[in-house]
Amino acid sequence: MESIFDEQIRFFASVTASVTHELNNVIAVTNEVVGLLGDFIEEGASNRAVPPEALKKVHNRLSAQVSRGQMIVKRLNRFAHTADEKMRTFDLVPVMENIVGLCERPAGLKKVKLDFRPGVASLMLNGNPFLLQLCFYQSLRLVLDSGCSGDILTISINSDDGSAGIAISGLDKGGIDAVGLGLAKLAGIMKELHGELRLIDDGRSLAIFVPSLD
Amino acid sequence: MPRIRVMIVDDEEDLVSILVERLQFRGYQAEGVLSGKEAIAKAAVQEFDIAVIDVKMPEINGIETLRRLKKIKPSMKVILLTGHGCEAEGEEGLAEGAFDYLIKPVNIEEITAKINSALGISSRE
Repeated sequence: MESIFDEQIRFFASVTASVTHELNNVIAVTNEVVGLLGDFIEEGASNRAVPPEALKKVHNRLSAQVSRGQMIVKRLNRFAHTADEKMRTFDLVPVMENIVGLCERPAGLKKVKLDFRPGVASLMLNGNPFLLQLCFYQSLRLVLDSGCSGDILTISINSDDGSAGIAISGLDKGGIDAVGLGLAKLAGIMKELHGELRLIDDGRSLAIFVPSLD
Repeated sequence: MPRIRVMIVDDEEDLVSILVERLQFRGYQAEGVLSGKEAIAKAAVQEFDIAVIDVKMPEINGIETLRRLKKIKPSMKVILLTGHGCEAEGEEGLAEGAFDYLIKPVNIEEITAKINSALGISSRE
């Protein structure tokens, strides 16, 4: 059986691979926009006027890709720093917002959109943020791979009497059993997190419960 | 010489529209679609000489799109676009009948050279 350390390495590799694929797309689009600009220069050299709207479109396309690239790098950087310390006090909301953002691409490849609705502005935890993200990532994979997901999965955060709950909601009835069967795979991680993972809302949501400081 | 009919298949909308624009600028009759499903539907009703298909796409990926296109249009040439570290997917595509694969990011000259090579054209008129 794979150790938790191996799982963490695999998780980091998987997120990095996904992010670099997305960055590669940003570079590919930017590369083509620059090429298009080259085509316009060529047209200009042939005394054919390039319409200002076409140049404006090039500008907008480049700006959009720069913003997209900045967002991807920011997310990856934040994610990487969650592995700096094994145990620490952290705010769950921005950590989850970031990992949900990083999961948009793998979810998108399954035609699923992620809707992050934290429910609380801030929720302090004392624990291992990297391991908690691994748990969320694996749980989401379980839901996506079960084929039970709808078009939109809602990721919510709730606080209740010293416990933080992260729920993935929007599961179809048909996939509940498939998700349930996979829960045992995450038992080791949940033990490390002193938490619990279970199906709630008649199986419509998969929820992670961990101790909170609030 | 008739214009070469090219279909670009990628879920990156911006990339598709720019590639189409740049191929048209070079005299190709290019059209773009954003999914394997759309590519199959379009190929069923319209003739294309060649398709340039991204491997990583939601639902029906590039390899599956290639398989289905080859079933309905066996003579249509296919070039796959893949990412760094995903050369195995390109090789799988070759085994499924793709003419060749390119690793993203590619420039337009590489694409047109590969298209021309697939169609046995030495240079563009």
